[in-house]
Amino acid sequence: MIELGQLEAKHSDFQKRNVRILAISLEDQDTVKPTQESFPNLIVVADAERGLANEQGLSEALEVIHPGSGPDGDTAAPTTILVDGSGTVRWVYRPDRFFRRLSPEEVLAAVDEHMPAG
Amino acid sequence: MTTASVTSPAKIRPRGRGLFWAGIGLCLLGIALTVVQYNLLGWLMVPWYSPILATLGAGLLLYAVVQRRSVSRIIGLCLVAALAGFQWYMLGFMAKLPDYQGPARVGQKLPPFQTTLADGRQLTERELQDGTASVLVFYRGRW
Repeated sequence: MIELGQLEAKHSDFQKRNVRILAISLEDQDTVKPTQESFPNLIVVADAERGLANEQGLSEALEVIHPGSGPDGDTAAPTTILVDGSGTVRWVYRPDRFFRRLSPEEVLAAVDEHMPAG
Repeated sequence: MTTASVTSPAKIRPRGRGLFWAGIGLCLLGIALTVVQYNLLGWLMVPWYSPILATLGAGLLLYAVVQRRSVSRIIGLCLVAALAGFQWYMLGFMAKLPDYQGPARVGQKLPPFQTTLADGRQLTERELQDGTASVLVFYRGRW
């Protein structure tokens, strides 16, 4: 949640660039409701059905995070994907270890580099 | 008449005692710095320094055991060495993530998907084609 808190604190910098932030986990809707209340400027996605995580190919990573958890595991590999206003993928980042997360400044730098028009 | 002077014997510190506590301290320092890094500073990076400090601590404890063998020192050495080993395993192997192999390809449209927002509304790839750019952050959940 530290990561989401940092993104929430910097949401105005993203807004200036006409960029919205979607925070996606494999939790169900009831579980993410408090998360949405805590971070009102993020769009929190409850992807318990894995409609998005599977499309993004994240389920394969579950085995690595929690060996033995298989595709029914309850966590996704931390990944950041930048999508421009036409729905085209501009940048995909996955850390080499799950302790690592991007800071808001690093995400903003990636936005400026890969989506200069915002 | 003579007076007898009574002097207390000088305290002799066991050899290697300072090394023992320095080793324990280094190990605990790594853990404390990790807590500070994540919870107070919010720096979300891999705390490689923690296993390094624990390994250095184990080295000091080993030296303390060589200087003077005792049950407490040997137990301390075993615990710190085990903790250092666990940290190396955790950061070196368990925490490792595979490269992204999913269908989202740079330069291509986001593949079709359907998922649910926190308020129950549906979200598909079409909502992300409205002219506003998006950052998709996949996080690991509440814990």
